[in-house]
Amino acid sequence: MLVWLLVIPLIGAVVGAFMRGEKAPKVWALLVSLATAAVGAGLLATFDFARPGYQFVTSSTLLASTDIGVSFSVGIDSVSLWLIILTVVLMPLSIAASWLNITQRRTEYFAWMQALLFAMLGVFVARDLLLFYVFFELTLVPMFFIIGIWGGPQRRFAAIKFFLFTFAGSVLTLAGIIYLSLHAGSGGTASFALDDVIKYAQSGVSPEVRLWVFLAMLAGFAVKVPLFPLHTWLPLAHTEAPTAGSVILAGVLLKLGVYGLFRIAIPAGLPAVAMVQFIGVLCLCGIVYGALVAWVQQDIKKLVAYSSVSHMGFCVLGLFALNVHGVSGSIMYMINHGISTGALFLVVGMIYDRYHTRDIDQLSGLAKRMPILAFFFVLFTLSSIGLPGTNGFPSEFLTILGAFTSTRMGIGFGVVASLGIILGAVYMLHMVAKVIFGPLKTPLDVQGQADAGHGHAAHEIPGDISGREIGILLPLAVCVILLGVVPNIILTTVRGPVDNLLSQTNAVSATRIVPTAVPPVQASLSN
Amino acid sequence: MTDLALQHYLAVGAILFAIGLMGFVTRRNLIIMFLCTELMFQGIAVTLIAFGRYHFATRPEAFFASQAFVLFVLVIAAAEAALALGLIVLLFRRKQTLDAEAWHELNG
Amino acid sequence: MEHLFAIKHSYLIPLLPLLGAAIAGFLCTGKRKTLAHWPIWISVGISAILSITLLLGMLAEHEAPKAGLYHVQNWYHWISAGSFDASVGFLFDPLTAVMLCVVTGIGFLITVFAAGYMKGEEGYSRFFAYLGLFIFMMTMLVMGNNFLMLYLGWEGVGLCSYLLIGYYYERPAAREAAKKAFLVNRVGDFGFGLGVMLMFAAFGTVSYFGDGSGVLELATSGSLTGFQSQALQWLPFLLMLGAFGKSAQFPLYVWLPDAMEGPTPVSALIHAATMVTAGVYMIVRCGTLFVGNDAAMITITLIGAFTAIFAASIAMRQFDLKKVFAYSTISQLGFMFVGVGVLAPVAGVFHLVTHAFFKALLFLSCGVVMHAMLGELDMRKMSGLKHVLPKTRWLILCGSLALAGFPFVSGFFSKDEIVAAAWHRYPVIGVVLLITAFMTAYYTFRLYFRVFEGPLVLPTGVSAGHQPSPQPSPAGADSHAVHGADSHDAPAGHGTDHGHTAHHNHEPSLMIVPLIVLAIGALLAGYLNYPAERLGDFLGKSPSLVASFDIARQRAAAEGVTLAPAPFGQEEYRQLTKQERSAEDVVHLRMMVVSGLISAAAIYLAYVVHRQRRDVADLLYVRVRRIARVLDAKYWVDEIYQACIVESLRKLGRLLFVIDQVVVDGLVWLAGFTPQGAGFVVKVTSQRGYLQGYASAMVLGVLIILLIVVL
Repeated sequence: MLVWLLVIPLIGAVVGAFMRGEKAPKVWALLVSLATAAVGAGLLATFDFARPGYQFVTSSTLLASTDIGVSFSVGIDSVSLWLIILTVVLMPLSIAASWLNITQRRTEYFAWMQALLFAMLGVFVARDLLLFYVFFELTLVPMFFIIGIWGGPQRRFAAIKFFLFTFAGSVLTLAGIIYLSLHAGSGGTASFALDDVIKYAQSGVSPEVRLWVFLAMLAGFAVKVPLFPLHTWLPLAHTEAPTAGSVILAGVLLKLGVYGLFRIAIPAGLPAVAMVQFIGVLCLCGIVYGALVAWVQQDIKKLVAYSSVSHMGFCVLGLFALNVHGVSGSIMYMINHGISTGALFLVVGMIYDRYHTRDIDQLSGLAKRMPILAFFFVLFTLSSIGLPGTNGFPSEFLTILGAFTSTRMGIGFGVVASLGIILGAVYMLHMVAKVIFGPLKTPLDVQGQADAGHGHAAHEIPGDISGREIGILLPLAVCVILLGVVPNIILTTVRGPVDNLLSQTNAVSATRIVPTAVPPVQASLSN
Repeated sequence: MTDLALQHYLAVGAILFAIGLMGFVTRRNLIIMFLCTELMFQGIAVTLIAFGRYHFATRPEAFFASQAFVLFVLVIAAAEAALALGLIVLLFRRKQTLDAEAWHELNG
Repeated sequence: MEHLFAIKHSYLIPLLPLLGAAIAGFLCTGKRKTLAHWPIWISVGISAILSITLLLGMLAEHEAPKAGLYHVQNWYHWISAGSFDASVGFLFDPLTAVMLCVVTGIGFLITVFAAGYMKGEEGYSRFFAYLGLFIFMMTMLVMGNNFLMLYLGWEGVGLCSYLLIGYYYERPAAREAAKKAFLVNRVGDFGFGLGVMLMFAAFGTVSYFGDGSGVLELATSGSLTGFQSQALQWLPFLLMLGAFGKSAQFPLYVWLPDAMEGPTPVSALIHAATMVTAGVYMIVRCGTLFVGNDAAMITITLIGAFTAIFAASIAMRQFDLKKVFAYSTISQLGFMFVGVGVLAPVAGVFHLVTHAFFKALLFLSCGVVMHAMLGELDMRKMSGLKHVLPKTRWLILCGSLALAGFPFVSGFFSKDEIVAAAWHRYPVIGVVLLITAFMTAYYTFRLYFRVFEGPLVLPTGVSAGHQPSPQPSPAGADSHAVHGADSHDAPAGHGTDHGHTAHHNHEPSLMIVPLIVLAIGALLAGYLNYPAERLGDFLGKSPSLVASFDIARQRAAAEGVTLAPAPFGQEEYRQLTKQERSAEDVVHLRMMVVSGLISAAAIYLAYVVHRQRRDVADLLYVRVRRIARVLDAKYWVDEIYQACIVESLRKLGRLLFVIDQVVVDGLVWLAGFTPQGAGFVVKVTSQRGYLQGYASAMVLGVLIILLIVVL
């Protein structure tokens, strides 16, 4: 079943690359992504949440090499499953969102989208580190072209910056992976199998070596997340990318970094308290810094991009709290951020399609002209600021609670992270107040400035969103409410992998870590 | 008058090489510089053949090998002369000068 | 108690309004827009009936166990992670029942009023959808059985408040006011959220009650660990921050006056009767966390008293009808906080109930005025409206008497209980409250005499309708406006919304009937708790009050004081302390006489300067010009906040953005630039393209190697 998940988009991409015509490529891409989504739904239906460990495990000897211990082996646990679901849900929506506004080189665009789907899914199913790495890097190629060809005015620069940043980081990750894998197999042979490598890292190397390996892996994953201060590629890439590119970038690609930390870096690196606190401080910086910088942005897409920096700070903070609350909150945060930020980018894209500007001062009072869009915009904003009843709340609350009760971080981290709750509302409501509310600026004003010289533009009065666009936003809105009302759909199902991770980190840390500043009662509660 | 010893051959080779080197470093005419490289080649060839003659006289296969090397060097030098002189002609046509410094922007 | 229909199907109470909101918002579009009030009327009406049956059913329960009369009902696990578990669950006790009746009952009356008031609005269905959503959130807030549910309702009502203040979103003032309300509340929620986390860290749960494992139960048990008692030192302060934000106490009150940008029914429902009292509800509900902490109780008392007098002083110099009542609400909420702060939670809740009636009445009456005066609310531009709005005049008189604490009207009894309790505990606070009561009566009747009595003056463009109107004689009435130094924004936009009503009946019965019900409540609600303390006895069965009293009594006993049980509604202790009780009653009676006199004096003063000789007010103004100017500027609090917090943070944001682009990005580029730079340096220094140079370098290199080898 997992193989189909990869084969369908791969075939789709190859076939799609040779399609001609105006409609055929996009219809084909939509069908392929829907077929992939159907496979995803099948996985969800047949996945046994009660069973621990990996499921749908498949290994192919065809693509294996025993000399260097590489094999094509795939399998998923519930965390991977939810991220796969997120991916296959976002992809058809992104393709549908590109329906009208991609007018040049359609064939290539939609083929790249399918290739991107293939690469992203590969990361989530891989159980071999080399395979993981190959897919992890493979996601860069389609995204590089999507930004570089169909992006905004500065697209080339943005694409190169995006590529170089993430690539430079992940080369170090590769070094770390290879270092561990060379002796990870039984009897000191090479093995890239995930379980072997982690077992070897935990028992076969000294803590100093483990620290360096952890840092090497952190380099790649932290750029991808992105963790402050490695975030500067993100605003530019988001601003320049086409709408669908931004959606996938924020919705799925950023999650690859957190997923890598969760799946590989933490179990293999078993970070010590000082390291956890160091990363925690970076997260807090990112939370506050991202929020304040988002507040002063003129470009609403850039504002949402900086909000991602802030949000991903929460996500990583929760993960490194290394207790049940934090880690489950963090996993849920990944899903929620994908939904709400992805949706915000979609809405911003729809505004841009109509007004050809994203300047916060030129847009005003859209609620008057576009009440349906305004409804969705406000809903996703509320989700983004973590209003209880939407999906944002459980994850934000749990990540902060995780930091607050963590034996490795403590109350101070929770307090600073909570400041992010206030600041998050500040910049988001600033945007809503400016763009959605206020006196309506007539399209003449806006169009006149955007299309100076095109007399015909003044005649078009942008209307509310179409049925197609409602169809794109509605599934995400349903997810926002559903996961807000019953977040336990995710929280209880990811319990197995979370406990598994924590048993590994706590087994090692228990012998070395003496919580000093934390009262004993808290320590007993943290897990 | 004493017999010619190895040192004498080596001295000749060294002198040839040194003359070539000095010429290469000091002269700016491309053809002269090329000739100087040829001089250096010949200095090396003399050295090589002298070594072969004095060290491997009793081992024919090594002796012949050393002579083959020298022949190889000569052939390559000839081939190179054909190529290089052709290039120099082309370069001259471009700038109407044989000054090596005229081409310093090729540094990349 | 479980057998009550209202409890068995308790989910109906919140969900019906939500369903109504969904129907009103999504289905009542286009031509069906004018029907949007029906789903809300029906659903909120049924919720109100259920709430009242719940209250009556509970009243019928005689055998209250020692631990209190309550029932916990869990529907499903909402957020679970590890040991953290928050359920969607309800708690039914007298406090919840009373709050539910206030929320749904007054909510229902206001939705009826709103159908008349909002008629013909473009966003009619949107308005009713928001109202339904608000009732849903507010019922969740008061019904929830854990702090996360409280937080859900807390933020949810904040959202509805945001949406409703920003209802006229095209007006920049409304938009900014909405944002401000949400953000100031978020500052409070920051404390609240941390409080919840600390609570979980200390007690391992966030539920109120549940077989001895709830936070409120654990906090009362004698065996606290060191960390738990340490946490109890901080918890009240963190929760208090949330309560101060939601209930608009100093220093987080600034959003409430601006919130008057919303439609008037909203001001009545959210910003007077229900939502803003959530803070009081919270402190009463978690009394067990508060009463043991003297520092926290003193803080609440001081903040409450300060807010009361502070806001009342500003209200005296406001000219916008709604702004007067907004500051009045802040002031009255201060009274409620003093009530809970001086260990008289029953008095606090009692005042909450009576205040809900009379303040809703006053706001809605303002709404009628606004409706008739085409959105004009400046009291300097109108006078003698009793000729135009005769019914409203009597209604607002009822409300004003209640607010002013005129003897034998509801506000008199409830306010008096608070003042008496405060006097009993801290006489200074009692005096402050009495002064505030004087100011309250003065500004209330200043408004009444200015607007409804005297010669008829109407704002330009308003006809007197079909009412027999005497000859307008504007001489002198407008003289006050000469000193128009105040800086409030006139709600200009509303005029356009009600232009169509200019020649219609100014007092449609759809708006007047709910007001009559409220007026009856405003006049008579005081007798709920006086002379027989029925409300107190009922509330006293709430486990929150039972446990609070236990803690407070132990604490008092440790200091050698006997604590009166009446303020906690603890009947079973009453027999034992009859002596103290009668002594209390004497204090209470004396206090009643004093405050009755004060109220009457203030009304008389207002009568003299604002009805009989309005020129005296102007003279008075000239005399105390400096003080008046401070009051007109509302102590510059908004300006200070703007300059110190908002602007400086925004500057920080800009600075960080520059840093982001220059320093952070710069550093990263530096890393990328290093190889390129190194290459450039080599190119400039040695790779210059001179063939001889390369050759010399090579020779030199060979020589060096040779030297090294030889040596």
